[in-house]
Amino acid sequence: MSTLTSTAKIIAVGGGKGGIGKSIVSVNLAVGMALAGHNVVLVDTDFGASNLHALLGINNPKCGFQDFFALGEVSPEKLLLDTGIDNLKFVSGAGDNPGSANISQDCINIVIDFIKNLQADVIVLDMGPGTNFNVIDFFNMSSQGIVLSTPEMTSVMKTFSFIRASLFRSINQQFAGNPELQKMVDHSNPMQADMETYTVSLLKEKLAEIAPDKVADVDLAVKNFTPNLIINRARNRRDIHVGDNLIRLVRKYLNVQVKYLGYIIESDRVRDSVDEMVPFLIKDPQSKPSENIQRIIGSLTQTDLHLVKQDGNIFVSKQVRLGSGWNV
Amino acid sequence: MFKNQSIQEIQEIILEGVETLWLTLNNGLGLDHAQSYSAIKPYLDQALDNPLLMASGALLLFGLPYYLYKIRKINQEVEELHEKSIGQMDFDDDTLESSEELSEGGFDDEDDAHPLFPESATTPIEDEDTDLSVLQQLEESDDDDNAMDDLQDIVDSMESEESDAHKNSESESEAAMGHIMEMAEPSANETEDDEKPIPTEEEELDPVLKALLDESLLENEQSEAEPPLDSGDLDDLQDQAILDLQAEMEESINALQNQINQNGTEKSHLDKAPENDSDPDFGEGKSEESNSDLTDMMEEAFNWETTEDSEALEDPESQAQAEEIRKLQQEMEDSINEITGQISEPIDYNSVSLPDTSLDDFDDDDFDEIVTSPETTAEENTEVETEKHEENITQIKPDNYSLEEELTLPEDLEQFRKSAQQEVTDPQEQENEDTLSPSLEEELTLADFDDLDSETVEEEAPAIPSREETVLDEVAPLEPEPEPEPEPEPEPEPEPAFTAVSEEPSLVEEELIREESPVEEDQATTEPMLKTVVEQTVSRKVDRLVDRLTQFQGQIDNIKNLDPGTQKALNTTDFLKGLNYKKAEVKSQDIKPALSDTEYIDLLESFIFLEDQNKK
Repeated sequence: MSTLTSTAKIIAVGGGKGGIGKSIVSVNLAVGMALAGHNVVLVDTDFGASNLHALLGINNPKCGFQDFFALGEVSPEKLLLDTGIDNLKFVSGAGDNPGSANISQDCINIVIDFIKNLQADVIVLDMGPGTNFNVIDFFNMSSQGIVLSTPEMTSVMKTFSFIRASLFRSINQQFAGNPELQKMVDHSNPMQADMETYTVSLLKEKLAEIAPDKVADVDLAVKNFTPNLIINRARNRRDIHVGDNLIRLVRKYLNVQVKYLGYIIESDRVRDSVDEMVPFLIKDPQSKPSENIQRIIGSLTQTDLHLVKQDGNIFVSKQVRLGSGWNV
Repeated sequence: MFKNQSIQEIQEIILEGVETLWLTLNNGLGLDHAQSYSAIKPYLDQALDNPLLMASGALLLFGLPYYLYKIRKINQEVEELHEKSIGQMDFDDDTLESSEELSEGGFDDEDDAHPLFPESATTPIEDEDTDLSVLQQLEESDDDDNAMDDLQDIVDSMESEESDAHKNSESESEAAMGHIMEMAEPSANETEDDEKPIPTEEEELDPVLKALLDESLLENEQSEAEPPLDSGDLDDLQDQAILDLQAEMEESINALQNQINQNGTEKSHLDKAPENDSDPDFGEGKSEESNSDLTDMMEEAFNWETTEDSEALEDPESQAQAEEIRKLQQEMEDSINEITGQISEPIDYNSVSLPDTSLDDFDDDDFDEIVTSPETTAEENTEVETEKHEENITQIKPDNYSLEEELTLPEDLEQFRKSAQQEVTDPQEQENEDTLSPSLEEELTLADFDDLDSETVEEEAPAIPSREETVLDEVAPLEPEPEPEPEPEPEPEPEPAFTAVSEEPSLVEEELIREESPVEEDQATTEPMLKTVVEQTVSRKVDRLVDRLTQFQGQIDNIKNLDPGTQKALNTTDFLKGLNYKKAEVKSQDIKPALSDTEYIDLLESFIFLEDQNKK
């Protein structure tokens, strides 16, 4: 694992379930932050089904992570693609390689090193679905992880599972060098996993019996694990309230404090922007989903961001909140 | 005793009726004088008790108004007769002095001051002393033998007046004369029959005078460019159509006769003089010749067989021509009578077009659904599909199309007439046309009529209905205003709309104009026949369609009228199994969406964790 040379804030957008809008939210978050003046790099880490370039209107990315894996050494500058948006670069994961979803852990580490060495203010990671390590490792490397969920019950369940898997993955890394303890929190292999430690409380109880000194490490890992939550495609207040219930559930079983960043309402404008391959924050910054995104960006960056489009030009207003610590 | 009782009952009924009437009037007029009936009731009782009073009362009630009406009518007629007679006298040179006296003020001011009827009391010439001839004429008018002579005198005087004052157009006079002939025909027939009761004075005068008055009305109607067509008054249209038709016929016949006379039949010229009188052109100054006999003239107008042509025509060539003319006249008369009967019939194209509007509302899908009912075989389906276009043709488009196509222009008529006059029609061809079958029009196609012109009677007559079907068969489905018709002449008439409202008057117009055209024998015979053929075809197809609709409706009604048990059985699984449906075994838990947060979290927990985990 390479040392972190970048001071960039890494924002990983993930979620257990596919099709919940991770890529769209990632793109618009990156665009909003770029428009707010941050140097942003948007990275597509959904190696199996990368389509982030399509949302940006880039037909054929000249270079991507597939070239990185195949050629071995590709200059990082070559991977950074222009998006046509100021302050926004893009690293594509596109490549019509059937086995690209099952890249090795070494490749994952290479990518992680690459990301950590990117010189940018903000790095936005668009993650793939699922809870496998290829996904979770990218999520856990972020300084601000965003879990995305839709109001449907299935999505909420998968989001909970994603959070738990990410937490246990981070605890697992805390127990590095102690396979017995790692087995307690490694649920990736059901044959070897301890299925009784499926909550943090149960884990701590068991750890207290086996290795009481490690309980503090668990507490530290839990404390450092602070994901953020966005409810996408909200249609009513009840949908918005689903996020609160999820946060309550996570706190109950995982002792993790999830921050509710906000919600994005369901809108045809989002769908239209996808069809037109233009981020809806640019296409119509004054639409309701754009306002939601701006509010989420404000929560992330401790700023009050406001975009206005007039005569085809986008005007940005950003007010930094005092004491936020974000680019103050 | 019984009679007295019945009389009393009748009296009571009368009293009750009067009381009811009185109360009804009070209620209807909003009067609050219901008690006033009690005031007149004793008088009523008294009148009813005394038969003499009752009879006198009844006489007063009914006889007096009738008497007044009769006096008024007689006076009006006498005054009108006076006007006509004096009008005749004005143009008589012998009465010049008397007219000068009259113009100097030799009339009674009282007559003008107290006219019986202001409308008729316009002329100051009604001095009985100076108008002895008129009185004599009135006396003679009572005489049965001289009645028609007097009428003829009056008519001739009016003719001369019109011809001198303002020369009316030929068509107007023709129309007027046609009307006169129409009105005078029954009276002429009456004079022919001596046994029949002699008509009264007013009955004799009414037709002629009305005809003269109608002449002015006809002028107005013709000058207004056929507004009645737009008004939609079908009766007026029919009447006018008959008049126009007769006038047209008169004109054509006279033209033919003149042509024959000019060919050298000098002998027949004198004999035909009365017939020439029937020419509505009164401006030729032949009033003296026309004084011969009005009844003969009117009889000659329609009774073609009794003319003197057969006697006078000794030349074989002219005899042949006269024979042709006689045939033509006879056929025309028959066709006119047939057309008149068709027009007067309440069921006409309008009745045929009734299902058109309903069929217009049909979508093709609906139509297909109907015609492809389970009971219809494949052959029927194909037949129906082919017929569907035909239905559209005959019921949707044809009206409009035929309107535009068959509108015969005056130029067409003239050309048609000239061509017909020049050539003697072949009887064989005429017979062929008479035997034209409905299958012929089905066989005819658009290509057959592409080069169609109004060249010959034999070609145009059968083409009209055929073109309706065949041309529209190609055009009908989509195009609302296709005009593939090969009609060469421009049409002065505005194109009729497709709406049924405008179709009806236009139909009548088209039909009337089409009926005007049969100046020649062929068209006169074939057009009505073809029209009937078209009607039969349309009605046959409409009937067929209606039968199918009725059949389909009957099936629906049968399903609807099933008893509740049967209807319920249709919705059961057995019925679905009969339709090759298989029941799927589904077991599901009734999980209601969580309402509260606790329920929602519990629900989430139940799905996230395993059962053992949940217990822990």
